[in-house]
Amino acid sequence: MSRFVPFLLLTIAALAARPAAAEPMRGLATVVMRNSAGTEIPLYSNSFALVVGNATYTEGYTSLPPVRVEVDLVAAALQRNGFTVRKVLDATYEQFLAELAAFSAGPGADSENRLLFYFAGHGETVMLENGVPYGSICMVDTPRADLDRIGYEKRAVSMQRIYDETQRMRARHVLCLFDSCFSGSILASRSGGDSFASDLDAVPDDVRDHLRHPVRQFITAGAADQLVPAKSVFTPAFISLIEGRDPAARRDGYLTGRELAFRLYNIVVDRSKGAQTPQDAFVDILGPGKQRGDFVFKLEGAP
Amino acid sequence: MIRPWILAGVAAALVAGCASPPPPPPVADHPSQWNENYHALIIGNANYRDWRPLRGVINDVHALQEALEANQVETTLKLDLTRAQMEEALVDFVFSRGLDPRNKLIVYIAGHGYTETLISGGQWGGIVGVESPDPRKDLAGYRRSSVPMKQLEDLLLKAKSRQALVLLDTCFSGALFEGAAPPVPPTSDEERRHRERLPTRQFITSGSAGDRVPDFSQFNAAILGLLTGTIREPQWDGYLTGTEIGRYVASTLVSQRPQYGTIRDPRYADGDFVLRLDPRFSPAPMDQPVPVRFVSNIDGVTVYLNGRELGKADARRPLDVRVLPGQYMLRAAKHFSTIPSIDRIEQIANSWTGQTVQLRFPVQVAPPP
Repeated sequence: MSRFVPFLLLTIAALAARPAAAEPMRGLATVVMRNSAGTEIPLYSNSFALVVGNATYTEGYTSLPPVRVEVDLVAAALQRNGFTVRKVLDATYEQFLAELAAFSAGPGADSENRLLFYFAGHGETVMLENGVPYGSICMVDTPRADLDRIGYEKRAVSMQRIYDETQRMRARHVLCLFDSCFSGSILASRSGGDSFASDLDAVPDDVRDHLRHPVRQFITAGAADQLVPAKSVFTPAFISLIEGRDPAARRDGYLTGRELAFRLYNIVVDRSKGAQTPQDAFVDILGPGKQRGDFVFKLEGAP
Repeated sequence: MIRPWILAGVAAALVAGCASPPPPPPVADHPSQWNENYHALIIGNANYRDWRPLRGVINDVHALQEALEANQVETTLKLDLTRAQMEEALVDFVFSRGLDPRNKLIVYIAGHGYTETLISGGQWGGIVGVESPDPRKDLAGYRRSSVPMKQLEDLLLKAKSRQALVLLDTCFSGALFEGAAPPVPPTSDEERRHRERLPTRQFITSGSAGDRVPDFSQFNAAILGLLTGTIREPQWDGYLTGTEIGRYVASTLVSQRPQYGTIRDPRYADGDFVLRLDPRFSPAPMDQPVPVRFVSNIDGVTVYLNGRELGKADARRPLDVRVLPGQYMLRAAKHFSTIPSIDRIEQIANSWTGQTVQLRFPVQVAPPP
């Protein structure tokens, strides 16, 4: 029975790769990291991103016109970084579930893939009866929670559900970014923010080997009780970092997920004058105590 | 000034036929006084687009509905639902019946389930919508047309109801509890009673991950039996608890390895769902104390059984005790400091579970001087 599994996975991977051919792709997407001895550490064979931007809300939430432009910029920057990008504008609840399922069962089925999920739009937090804040992201047809709670419950996508979906992916590294109001709540109920290493750029060789371990990383634009402005501070900062425009970040030519979270925090707190504090969390999907990998972006013009 | 006057009030005294040991001391917190309502959502998925039909499901869910209603449980039955319809039904249920802490929720789902193995080695169970394709051919299609059990757990955390019980009669449904600690059975009757007061989110599944549940559901049959008295509840007292159901199915349906437990949230970990069975279905055994409630029409009435004082019953606060079934000499008295006591003597015969004894003192209020 079990020997059919690799075959199945291959089939799924092959199916997943097919639509990718139609999408614009820039050169070879294989990402390789070189350690000081010059040995190549293969990190990813393919990179896929699902970019969802909800700008035009129909059931009570205000529309967010800047999102339309932001997702274009994010998609373009990710493509330049070697990602095959699936961009979805103004997703309804049903459309979003279909996109997420296709993303997790398609590109997500290959352990050698690098996956990035990006969402811009409204978020909402409600309290569970056990006192835990429960955050969700809102689709364009999600009714406003304070006006139609039952409708909201039927058509909001909980952060928990996104987290759960990343658990079903076999891809080694998955990074999820949320540029939405109240989006920090997944972190309050999960592992809490991660403590940052002080010397982020010094990536010793043995640590580079560890990078290959599985990880799920979440970065949100603000904490659970913060309002995020319609015109994003978070997204431009993210783009400038993965484009390698931050001189501090590009010293070694790689930007890790941990480093991204740290620098995003500094930039966004600075530009929002402290009103907005991005949160991040790593989730050890193999359980506590296991070695944890890190998401890696290769920066333009890297040595 | 109001002064109570006594007109009459002595009934014939009869002596108990049962010379049993004295009744146990009163129990203050008893399920009979919680004034709870029970509500059930029953979902039966029998006819699928791509999965094989489950012929037994329709009969199972109708029989379950009947058994629950016979126990004063309000039910909603839904058949052959898609993923979206299941989500709607569950949200509607939780956000209507689950808004009052005293409303107890029962969710019963029968149909196909499917288990995925995660990269972490854990298992991921989902309830299959009727429109779902075969996951081995179209994994994305399956994922968007199934309800993960995790989602069901999260939804129940939005209910204000103190207690909720989920019964899953689905193939592969044991995945919910992979890695969770097995529940520890209560060690004493007191502890059990204590747990029955605490909030809980309990899950009982018909079979472990990897086992296919046959068309004829022994799980359903066991629950029907417990609800209707053809199978005697393990702790024979007229109150069927989640732990009783879980332990019963786990010990009798050994081959399909049913699972039971609570969700991992510590606030819901210690409670035990309790369903008060209709007295028809759980006649009390002669050697088990049963709850009896005394309700009085005036305040400060002292209740004695076989000459032993049990406590005070008030007009607004009934007295709840547990006694062995049988006949007793009941004496109820109201003591005044300035006038002679008024007494009312009655007999209770064949006390049974949940019996209420009305103490009516014919009292007249004297006209003001």
